[in-house]
Amino acid sequence: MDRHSLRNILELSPENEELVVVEREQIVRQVLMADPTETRDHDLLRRMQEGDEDAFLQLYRHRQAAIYRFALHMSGSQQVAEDVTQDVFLALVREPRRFEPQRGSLAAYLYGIARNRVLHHLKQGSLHVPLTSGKADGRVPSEPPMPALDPLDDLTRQEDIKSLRQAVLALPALYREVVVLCDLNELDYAQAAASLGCAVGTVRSRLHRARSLLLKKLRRSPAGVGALQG
Amino acid sequence: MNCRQFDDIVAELARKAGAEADPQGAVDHALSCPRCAARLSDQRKLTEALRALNAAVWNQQAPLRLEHSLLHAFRARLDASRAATTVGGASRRRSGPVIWRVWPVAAAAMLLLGLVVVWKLQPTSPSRLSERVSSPQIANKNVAAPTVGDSENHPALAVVHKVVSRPRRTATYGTPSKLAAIPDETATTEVTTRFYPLPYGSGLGLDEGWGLVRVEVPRASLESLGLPVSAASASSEMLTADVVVGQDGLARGIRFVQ
Repeated sequence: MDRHSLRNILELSPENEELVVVEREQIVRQVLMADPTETRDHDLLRRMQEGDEDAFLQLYRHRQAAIYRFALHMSGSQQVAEDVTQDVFLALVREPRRFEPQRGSLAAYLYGIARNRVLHHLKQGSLHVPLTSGKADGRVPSEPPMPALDPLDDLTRQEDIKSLRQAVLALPALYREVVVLCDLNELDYAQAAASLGCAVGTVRSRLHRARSLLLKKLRRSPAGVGALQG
Repeated sequence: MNCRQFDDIVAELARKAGAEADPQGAVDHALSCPRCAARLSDQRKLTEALRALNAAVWNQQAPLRLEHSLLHAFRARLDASRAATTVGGASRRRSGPVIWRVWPVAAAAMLLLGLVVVWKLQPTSPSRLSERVSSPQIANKNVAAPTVGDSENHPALAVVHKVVSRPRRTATYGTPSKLAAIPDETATTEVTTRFYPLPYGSGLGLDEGWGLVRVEVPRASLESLGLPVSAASASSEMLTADVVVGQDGLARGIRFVQ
């Protein structure tokens, strides 16, 4: 829909014509391109604001794992990941109306909070602890079951993953977050940009640079080379 | 494509992300340039390695105790907000001097709220009310609703409301009193359908602010809104519609205007 057709709409106020046109574009976009996942989140959030406990639980269970893994990849620490996840959803409980749907998705909003909390932990000097595999709280195992044809292969694979994880954690935070969001959490550029509060082009250029840095780091170590060989 | 251009997009090629202007051109370049082919190979290996890293933590999630803790916080927050409304009333009763200071303000607020509620609940003036009551006759005479499908399956489409004036303000959120239609001396007659709820969000509270925004939408998009569009009517024609937008910015309902 082009702006010219929107300008034909009645009742435009000259002093805020630009604002009105932009808002109308957003509204039309919302009407025509409703994302079922996003609309479900909005509905759950609205019900949560009205005191619906079940809606809060549904929203939490739907979003917590992604937020947790984001914080885990960013910090390398399960404790930090837990703290960040708690902070994110506490913020949602305390100030649900701070989320503005017209500015982006709820997922991007939650990632944005998580990112700020992780950076806060990193600035405070929370050292990351190498991740340990194993069950957490009686839930499913932390590693997916893989057929171990050769124990040495599995050990090598573990080493490769560890090496890559260390390489990601060694990236500057600015580059680490785009790798984690786009390559590990599989967000698209637009979603990542909304989470980080920057332009899509910025995400693309940072990701390009981040991946170059990762390749350089991995080539320097035998384990890293192994990680690249798969 | 040259090596520099290829280098700009090699990561996206390997990730298979983004719509590149010339993916085939990039692949052709890689076939003819060993250096760029090696870069693409490295990027693809990195992509696979990152996927393996992601798979290694694919089912990691927050522990169950975190859910319990957050639920407790949610309930505490809810109790605190409910208690705040009752405590506020109790404190007024307990402190005599405070009551005398607050009472005039509270009375004025209640009076204003009552006026707002009465104004909002007023549908139309008596003359307009009679027009609305007789609207089916008007519809049968010479007013046609937008053709969106079989009206037998959607009887609401056959009932139109004759609007004497159109709302003046659009895309402005506030209390309902600010958004009611304002009679306009130069108003022209419009015909609208009823409001159709959009496939998300479940209505507005009576005391929730809302706005009415007039937009133009392609007729063919009506199908995505769950409205039946006959094959004959699906076209690129633009329809005028009013969209109800809640204070949270979410569109809640739509009606079509002629």
